Amino acid sequence: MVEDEDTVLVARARRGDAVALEALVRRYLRAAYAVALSVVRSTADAEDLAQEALMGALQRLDQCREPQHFARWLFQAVRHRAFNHLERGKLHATLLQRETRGEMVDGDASSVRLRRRLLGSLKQLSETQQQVVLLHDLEEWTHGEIAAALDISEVMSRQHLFVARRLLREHLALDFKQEIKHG
Amino acid sequence: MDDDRIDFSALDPKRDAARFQRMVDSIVAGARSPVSAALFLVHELVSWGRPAIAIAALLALTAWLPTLVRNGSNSGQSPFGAVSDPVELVSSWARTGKVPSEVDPIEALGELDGR
Repeated sequence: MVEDEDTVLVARARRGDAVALEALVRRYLRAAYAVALSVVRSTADAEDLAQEALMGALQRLDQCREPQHFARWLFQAVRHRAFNHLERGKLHATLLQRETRGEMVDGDASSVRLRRRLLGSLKQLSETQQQVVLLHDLEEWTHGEIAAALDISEVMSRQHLFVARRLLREHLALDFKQEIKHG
Repeated sequence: MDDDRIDFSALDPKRDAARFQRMVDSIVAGARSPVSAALFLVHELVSWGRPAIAIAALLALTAWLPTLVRNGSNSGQSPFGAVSDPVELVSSWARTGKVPSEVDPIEALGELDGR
């Protein structure tokens, strides 16, 4: 069980065990990124927020009252940071800078276009739908793991995934048609 | 296999493996306080039934503690990360089952002071 493993890893990490800390980072960095991406609109911002939140959470591990629910606790911290980031208006101020630094430079024109198209389509979904589809299809979590981390039922996780995929496919197809039409 | 999966690889931070590794390293280094890293080293030594070396290590760490804390607060990272990481070194001994000699832990700690 992931919860049992997390309990052990958190206990070891609290004692300063670097191997346990790294195991937690490897397990949750991309998941934290997925949660951040469901709030902000830039992959570079999501990466920064995920790193900051994960580092902050690991520095305050003694405040994690339920180590078996480390993921849920971490995701709350990620969302909190992401919303603060939006409220401060930093996103708008740095959007252009991010585009050139992280997203335009990183990859050729077609991959940048694909990334923008995916991001644009994701933003048609609710925050929970984005989290579910990213955790399932990018991070390859099971519905049980998603349900525990997001504090929803497994049935809801399946429903969110079903709707999210349908909406994404519709939006991506529409977007693609418009691109063809406009050359 | 789930055939309905959406391909999000274009958004995957792991698409650049080296960059992703740097992110992991940076978080681990930032999450470890110098004092907790040092205490873990002592704990590992005690758990291996090497209390004499652990006591020696603890005494050495006590002497070096002001430097550790000063370096840690200046850089925002563990000073262990600046040279070879003694805690990581001890962890690797534990993983590989290698029993260190009496001098190994002292040498590892000596790295902290640049000696």
